Amino acid sequence: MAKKLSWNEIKENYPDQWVELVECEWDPYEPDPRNGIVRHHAIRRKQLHELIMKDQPVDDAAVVFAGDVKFKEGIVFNANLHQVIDSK
Amino acid sequence: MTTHFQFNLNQSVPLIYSRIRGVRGSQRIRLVFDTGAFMTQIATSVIEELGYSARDGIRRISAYGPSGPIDDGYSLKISAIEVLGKQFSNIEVAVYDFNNLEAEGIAGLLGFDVIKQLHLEMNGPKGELIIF
Repeated sequence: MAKKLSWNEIKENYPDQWVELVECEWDPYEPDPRNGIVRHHAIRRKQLHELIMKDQPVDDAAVVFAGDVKFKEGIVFNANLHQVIDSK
Repeated sequence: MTTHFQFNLNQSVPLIYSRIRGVRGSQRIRLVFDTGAFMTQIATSVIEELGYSARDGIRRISAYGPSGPIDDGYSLKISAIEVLGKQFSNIEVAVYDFNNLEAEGIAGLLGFDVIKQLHLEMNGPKGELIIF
């Protein structure tokens, strides 16, 4: 199995990718994990989802984006409002 | 007693730690602290990895932005969400394909339904959320 990496190493090795981390240490007071073993990684979250679903489930894995959330120039992140349209 | 939680000022939006509990265990993800979201929202990918599906849905839901409808999804009750030092059990969340937001690194929004239950203070320049 791959070795445990620090969050900085994960960001360096998998820049702007989605990663699934197992044996992950993550202080809930901090926005970033401290470290973890990368079990799966992919550029798109949907690709990572397919890899995770094909494999055995791992309880308490961390799934995070190893990059900065920075919207491209001209893109505005809107708050979403919701409207319930019907009951199922 | 107060508890301090950090968010990263280098990000365009405040991202915070959370643990989502489902029928297949739990997963830790980041959520956007989003007072403008009426309801907490989780990406379909996360929900499915936790063992849920649209068959568990309670209601159909449509997300609206300033210019009108954005996306259709559904709501369901998840076992629990742990966030900002609190646990919210059997909570209804909205589920959408976060196609655009996942491309930007976002898979969930902590909405006002949860935020309004907290006594909190934000110190923006320090990137802190202080929970009382």
